[in-house]
Amino acid sequence: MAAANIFRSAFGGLLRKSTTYRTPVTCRLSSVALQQKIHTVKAAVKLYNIQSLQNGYSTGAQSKPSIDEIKERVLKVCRAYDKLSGSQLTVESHFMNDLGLDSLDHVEVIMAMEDEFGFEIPDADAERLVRPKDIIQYVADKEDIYE
Amino acid sequence: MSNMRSLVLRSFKNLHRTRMKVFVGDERALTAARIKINEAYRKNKNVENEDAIKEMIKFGEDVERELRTQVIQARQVKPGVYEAKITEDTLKLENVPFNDNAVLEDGTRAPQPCCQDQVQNK
Repeated sequence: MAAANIFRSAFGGLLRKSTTYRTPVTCRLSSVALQQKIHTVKAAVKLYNIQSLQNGYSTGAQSKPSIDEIKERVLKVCRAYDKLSGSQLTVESHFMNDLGLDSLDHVEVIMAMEDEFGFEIPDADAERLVRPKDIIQYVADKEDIYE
Repeated sequence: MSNMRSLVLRSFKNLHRTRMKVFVGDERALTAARIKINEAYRKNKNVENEDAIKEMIKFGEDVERELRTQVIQARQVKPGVYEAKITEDTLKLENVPFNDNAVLEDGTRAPQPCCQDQVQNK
């Protein structure tokens, strides 16, 4: 916004020097009108966002899942993995130490998470995600969701 | 060593990703391939020799490429007619119409019927 103002004043000054007064005035009017329009649109968008957040409704692709939703999906995917279906799974359980998975199983679980949430998890990050809790936090960070 | 480990895990992951793409929608093939991949990697999990591991990573990559470029899914749409799913990775070779009189690169020609045969045919 500040940059636009500077530009406009510089532009206006230039016009004033070189041409008649009429053109800069009309030019300014239109730009002010445009700015006002943008303001209304922005306000409307803001209002819409606040409303959808307060209602907690999912409004298609725009809405973000809550932390609880992510947690549920992560645990669902874990349970769907055949070697974890019968185990005592909590968000705190360690895939290798508590649940007895090996690194190959871990890769498969991470792949299932990638499919569930629709983005790729680089190997370096995947290595650190050794508890469902870590995955939940990672996905939340990725989607800019905070508790 | 940890570098080796991540290479192995990456090839494992790539193999599974390719499996999911190549056999998409085919639950039986998906499961069978998954079991096979996991078995093969588990079988060799205690290998310590670095060269042997490198060799096996190479093999895994070859299998992955083979799956990606040479395996296609085909479905019978009506008796005797199959619809094949060709992907952008599928190896596609140029089709050359067969030419009886083609001169090979080394200058030789395909075997011609000898004069005696020609006489007999007349």
